[in-house]
Amino acid sequence: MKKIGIFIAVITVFFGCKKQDISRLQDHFTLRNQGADMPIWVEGNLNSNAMVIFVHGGPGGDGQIYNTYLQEFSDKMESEFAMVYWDQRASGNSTGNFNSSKYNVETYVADLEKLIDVLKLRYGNARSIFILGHSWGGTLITAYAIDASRQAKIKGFIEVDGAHDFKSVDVLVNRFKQIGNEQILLGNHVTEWNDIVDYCNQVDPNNATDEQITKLNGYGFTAEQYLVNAGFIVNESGTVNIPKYQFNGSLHFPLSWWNSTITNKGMYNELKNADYTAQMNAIKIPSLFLWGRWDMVVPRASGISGFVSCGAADKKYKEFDQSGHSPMINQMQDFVNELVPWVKARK
Amino acid sequence: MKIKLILLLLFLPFAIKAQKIVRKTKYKTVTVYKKQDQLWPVTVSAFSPFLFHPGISVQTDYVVAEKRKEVNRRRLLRFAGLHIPDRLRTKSRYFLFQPGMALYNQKDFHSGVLIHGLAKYRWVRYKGFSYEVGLGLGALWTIYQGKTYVVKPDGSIKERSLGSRLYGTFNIAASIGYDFSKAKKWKHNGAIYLGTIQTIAFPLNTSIGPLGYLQLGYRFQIPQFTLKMNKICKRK
Repeated sequence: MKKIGIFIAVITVFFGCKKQDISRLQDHFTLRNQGADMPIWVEGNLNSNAMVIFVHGGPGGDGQIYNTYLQEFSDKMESEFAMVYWDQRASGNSTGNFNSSKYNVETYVADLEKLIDVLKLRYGNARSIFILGHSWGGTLITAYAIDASRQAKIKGFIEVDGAHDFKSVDVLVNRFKQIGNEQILLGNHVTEWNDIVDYCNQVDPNNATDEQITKLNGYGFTAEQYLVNAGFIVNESGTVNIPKYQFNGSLHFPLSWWNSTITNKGMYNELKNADYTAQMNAIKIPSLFLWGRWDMVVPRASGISGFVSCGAADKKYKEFDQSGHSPMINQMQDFVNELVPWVKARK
Repeated sequence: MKIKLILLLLFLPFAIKAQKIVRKTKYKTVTVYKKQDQLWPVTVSAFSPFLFHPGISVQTDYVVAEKRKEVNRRRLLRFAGLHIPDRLRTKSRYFLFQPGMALYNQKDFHSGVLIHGLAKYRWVRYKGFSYEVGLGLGALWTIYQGKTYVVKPDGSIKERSLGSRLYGTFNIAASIGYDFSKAKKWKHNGAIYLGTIQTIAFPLNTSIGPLGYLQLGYRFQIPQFTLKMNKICKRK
């Protein structure tokens, strides 16, 4: 019996151990915090010492969209840094069991802080950690970084078309009217733009209803498609690996779709009144603001106000002139060219 | 004693084939398995979480009710006065209970064990095509791959090797298949089928969560064995 036990142990050790090449790391683990089990993938070049946490959008999106979906983009980023793809609480493949009262920004910020603690525990305290938030991820990293003690755990703050001023409906309405009227004059999608502009004329930005806010958000993505058709937004994302992302990757599509629907709804009441712009002067670490000029979901005015409010001495605002809400998709190479040297210089 | 138990387990397959194990030790004869006349339907399937991941599922059918209908496919010709031989075809409906277990591995997510019991309704058409729908309950045990870092209430972090969660599940199943017992070619007592189990796991996150699985399997019949242990007593 003892011999059998030793044999099984030897076989397990022999097949269980494999040497990780840290210049091409493929690591996966789970973070359990306050009832949520959140999967994390760490992929790329750990030799660089820099780790970039991709904080996805939504709320309720998923981390794999920047990895398996945007294969070419993630390959470029991973050749330079260790990229951390994190499915937030009740987003993507996240599971667990927690009360719906945890649907608040504070809990998400606590999750992000614990993720950073785990990364330091797993890969060493000396790692330079950067947080990159896209869309709703921008709200989350801003809420995280305005706290000085939390800020001390990271090397840099990168906001990409981030919604740090969720409640600024006036910014969105003004942008729709401005771009809409320009496009009508140019004769592009005239009927559709007329519908959008007419709708915006009916909205009182100071008293917008939930239905109006939701509809404006939907119009944002539709309007970007019109701008793609008219040639104002380009798409250079390279390999978009939909089969790997939806069918053969680690994403469990029914679960992620459900999570997206439920979480977006669960967070809405808090987010519709969220605005961290005034508190951004508390951010003192190096900060980078990357924005798409034609972003119709979180307009450039939000990015500029965030940049102006940011209290960092080392800060930069970069606008991609042929991009919408996701410049890493629209102008992938320019995005990489901007981001990589910035991180390298500060790691 | 332990070695004897291990040997006994190792030789069980031979015991099944031989139908009877007769051990002549200092103990009296022990009949381990006895073959029955009935056949036991077993389905073995490739089982995958959405969409292509490795997994295996084993399930069996317990027929609660069966309804067969025999129709003469040449009844109209007979009615027309033509004297030709009957061509009888059978279509069947089954109400069955289908317990099963599935093991799967979704890379970089989790490995899972799904145990389920499904109340199913199966139609088998004249030519052998079959359709199934079912509802049932079960349990899903998910085991996370890699380490799990558990944040304690005091904020400290504990590393755990095999983090897991147990969920209850409500299952909805549907499948299409082909029963080879009605085939002209390759006629035999088996069936192939392609199906899906849509599982609603609870409590997942704040309420419920859907998980989808696909199955491609083969159902065959094996002789039924029942356990019949005689009283073990020392030989005088």
